[in-house]
Amino acid sequence: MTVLYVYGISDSPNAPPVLGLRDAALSVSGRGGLFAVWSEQEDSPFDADETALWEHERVVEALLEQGTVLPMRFGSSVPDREALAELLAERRADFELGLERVRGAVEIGVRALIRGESSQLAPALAGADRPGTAYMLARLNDEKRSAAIAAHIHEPLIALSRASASRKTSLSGDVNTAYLVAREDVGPFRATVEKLDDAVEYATIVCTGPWPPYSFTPGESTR
Amino acid sequence: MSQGVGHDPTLRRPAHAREVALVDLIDRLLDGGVVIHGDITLAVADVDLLYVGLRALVASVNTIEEKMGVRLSAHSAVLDNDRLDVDAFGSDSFGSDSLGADAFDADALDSDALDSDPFRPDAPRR
Repeated sequence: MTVLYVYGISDSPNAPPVLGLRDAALSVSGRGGLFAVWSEQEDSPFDADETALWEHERVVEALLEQGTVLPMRFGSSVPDREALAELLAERRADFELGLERVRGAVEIGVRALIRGESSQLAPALAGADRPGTAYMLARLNDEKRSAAIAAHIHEPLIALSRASASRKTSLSGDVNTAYLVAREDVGPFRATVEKLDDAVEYATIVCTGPWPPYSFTPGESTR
Repeated sequence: MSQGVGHDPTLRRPAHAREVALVDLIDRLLDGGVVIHGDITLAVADVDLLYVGLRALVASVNTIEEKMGVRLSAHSAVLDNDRLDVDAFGSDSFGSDSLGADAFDADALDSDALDSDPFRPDAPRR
């Protein structure tokens, strides 16, 4: 019993010149400018190890090289070709709009990592016998700093981007944002991140990518 | 970007840059991307283990943060069970399933797991 493991939705009818999960051969299904890239897999749970993640990523990146792609979440599969054709037909408008949004762009992840522990200062402010108050002060301080850093770096970066998706971090006060950046703006974007990193003394600002647009894909049609 | 965007040597440097990239990769592949109805081939138990591995990675990286001048955080939307905020297309346009997040308790991670290879934790598979 096998299933079709799906890597991405693309506007290209060509299979990318790489291998899929566990070196499986890739196939392409679809029509009319909307195609799914898949490989046949045993219908049993497999290890979500680092190798498997990079194998999925390798296919999606190859798709990004030859066209526009909406990456699938890792682990997505359909029972058979009929189900895949149904998926493409049912969500065609959704996927076409999604492809249009990310055409010519890549995703870059930006993290601002705050240096120094405000929690070390808080006990002195609140008194050592009031740990609850100290904790709240520490949290407030972290959140204020986090918000200040987020605002400071977001403005110049969003100016070089089509869109952003922020992943909130509730514990450390760090900033973690994905930006959708036109390919020709990737150089200026990275240069801006480096400038911000130099300018903001109480945080380290790093970026990763370019990634396929994982954070800018359409959600399920039912939600 | 002729050699593949994911392997741009200036962005995916070895050592800490690779680890940041790995944290971001896990974030994206397990919490981003198109979600479809139907069976997920991936066992949820394995996702939990992967996140145990991620926590272990971050814990182990703590010790080299000072040397590298970089701090890592694994507080992704999945781990914290927060929703992904999207400010250009409208948050309703993007799904953010928290795959297995409820089943994972970071505090349950014992110190033995931190000592193991981050991505192949010795914890027994359920």
